[in-house]
Amino acid sequence: MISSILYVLVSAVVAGVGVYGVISQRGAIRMLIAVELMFNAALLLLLTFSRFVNPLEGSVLALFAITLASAEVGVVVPIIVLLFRVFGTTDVTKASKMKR
Amino acid sequence: MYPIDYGSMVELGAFLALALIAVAFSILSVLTKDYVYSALSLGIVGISFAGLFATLGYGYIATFHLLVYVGAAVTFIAFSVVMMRELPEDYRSLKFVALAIGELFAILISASLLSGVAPVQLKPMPSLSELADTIVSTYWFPLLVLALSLATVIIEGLVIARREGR
Repeated sequence: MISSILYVLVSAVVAGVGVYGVISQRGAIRMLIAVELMFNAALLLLLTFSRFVNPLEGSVLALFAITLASAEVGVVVPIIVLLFRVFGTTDVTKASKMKR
Repeated sequence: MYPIDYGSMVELGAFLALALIAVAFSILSVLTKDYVYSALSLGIVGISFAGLFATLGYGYIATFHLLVYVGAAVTFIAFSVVMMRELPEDYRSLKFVALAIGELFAILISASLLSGVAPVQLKPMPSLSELADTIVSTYWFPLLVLALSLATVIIEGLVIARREGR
């Protein structure tokens, strides 16, 4: 059995990379990708620790989380496409006004 | 002389390979300048995370993650970014601050969680029928809300597609 410490370290590194991406980038797509990295890391942590407590409840929560993350992508990406169409860029700093 | 446990060695090797791929491609997805490579790297990170879930014993979750997350969500991002070819500049001045905050975040997660890890007994993994029974009987209301939210996403997609057609 692989130690939980290794899983925690992997998820911590990936979450750290995600935080770096959200802070350092200003393209909306790249920010979304960084947020998705953090989601993956959180999911790995959830499943790692639910092994010790209640794997059934952890599995249910993970299934709901994966479905909601996919729905979130389905909402955010069309918004970014619209943003690109209206402003000609996905730079979030240039889209400070919600105008047409 | 201790007997060599080849099963554990293979498991550890698979974990190390998957972890290395996950970390390397997560860094690549943030650092690469091309959106398409960034989205494809996210897909590879998703695949390696599904492998990590499988090494934890969650085979069903790994399959679901591959099918729904990598197969639908990441592919959707990858196809959408093709429509938006641009290279936005990043915050040069914030790069080192962001790097420091990211490292601090990783260290804090490791320190806070590893301090609470105690050697406890693993619980048995649920079967697929147990999982389905629990979702339908105990978690029927969240399932309903989830179905409604997915329907909302479909409606949003239709509205945006109609707007494009005008």
